[in-house]
Amino acid sequence: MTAKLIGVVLFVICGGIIGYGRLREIKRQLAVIEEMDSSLALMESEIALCERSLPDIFENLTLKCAKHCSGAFSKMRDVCLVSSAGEAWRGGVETLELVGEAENALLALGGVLGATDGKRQSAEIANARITLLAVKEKLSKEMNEKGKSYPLLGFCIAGIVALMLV
Amino acid sequence: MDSIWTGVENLLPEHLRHSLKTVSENILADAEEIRLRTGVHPTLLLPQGEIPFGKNKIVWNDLAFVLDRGSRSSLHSVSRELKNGYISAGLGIRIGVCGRLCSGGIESFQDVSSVAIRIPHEIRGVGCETIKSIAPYENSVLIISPPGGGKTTFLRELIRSASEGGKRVAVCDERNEIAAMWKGKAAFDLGIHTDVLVGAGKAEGITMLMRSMNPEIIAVDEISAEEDIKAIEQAAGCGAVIFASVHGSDIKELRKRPSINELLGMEIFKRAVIICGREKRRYELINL
Repeated sequence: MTAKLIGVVLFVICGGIIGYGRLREIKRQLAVIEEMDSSLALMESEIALCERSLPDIFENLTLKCAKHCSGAFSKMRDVCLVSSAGEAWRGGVETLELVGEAENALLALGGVLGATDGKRQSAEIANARITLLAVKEKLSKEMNEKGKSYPLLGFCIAGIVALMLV
Repeated sequence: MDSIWTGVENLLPEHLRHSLKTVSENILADAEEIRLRTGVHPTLLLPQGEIPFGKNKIVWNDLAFVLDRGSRSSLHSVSRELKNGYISAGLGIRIGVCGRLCSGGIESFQDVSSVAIRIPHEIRGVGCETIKSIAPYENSVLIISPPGGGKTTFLRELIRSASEGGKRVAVCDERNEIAAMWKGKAAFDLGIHTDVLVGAGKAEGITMLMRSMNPEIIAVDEISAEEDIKAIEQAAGCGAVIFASVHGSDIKELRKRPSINELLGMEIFKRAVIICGREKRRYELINL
């Protein structure tokens, strides 16, 4: 009986942790998207106005970005010196662990970065930023409406399942 | 020179790097260019001509690789140079690009058919006796030689000597051949009193330098167009000494060209250096 009780409690705690984990992941994704949006804005102006090379842009962003994106740009800078900008970009974006539309929009930039003229790159970056903004709004809405209830939901579902099993 | 060859090797795909390692060091020391043409074996350009090296013929991907490495994966950053048919790849290395030109944008070089990787050789002390005769650099000098005759190398030495002699020299380096600037630093030593403007047309550049850098000497390579000559006339009128180079074999030949004949008629240049000989160069200083 005691063991069953302990099991139920552990089950409920796990459910809460899963719910809380979902909330944390939404917050992380929001932070990454915001950082990437600022970074893309900087890239757009560096490419359009200064015609700066991508390794130099990635170097700047490594220093300017906060923890979420700094590592990604550092990897891009290193890979760019031995491989194409597209490969470097895609490799760096994958380390951000974004999902869905946001990741797809960023990965798509790998096809144009460094390979076309400044105008086209700036236009594609602007499109990517529009997609990121839409995803950011969706995630913010989810967090505001359901964010606090995810841990509770986790507890409840886990509790129900535990009781049913018992 | 080792760092330059490392820079050159970094531009090449792996199979070409391996092929280059099989070429003797004596030959590499004399190599002026690496020429890559699609469908043909790669060649090294030496003073006596081109010699092939490597087992594989060049394919389009090899040229795309060279352009990618040369532009640091950033074609947008070299768009202006590419429209003029070349890319500066750092360390004084210049990649000449040839292919099908369309609208003049970057896309026009999707059909690149050949590249020429120029290997810089900083040769110090060329024409030193002639340069000593030109000192104290108070009169304008015209440098004359046929293409590939050593004008730029001599001009570089003249600029360095004048600069080290305390003169303020401003260089209008349209194609980044004289200084080979890379991230704000010149790959070639031009002296401590030298300012370099890269990328501007000669006429525009000379005007900018006169307005902004207060030079005692203006140096410019390969003048030909009328607007270049007008800008030189204005600069000379403001008191600047001019070091300029021009394609040609002698004064008689230059006088057959209307714009250069007009320039000579202005009596801006008091002296000329005629460079002749290929294997062993001679620098003949004459009064105009």
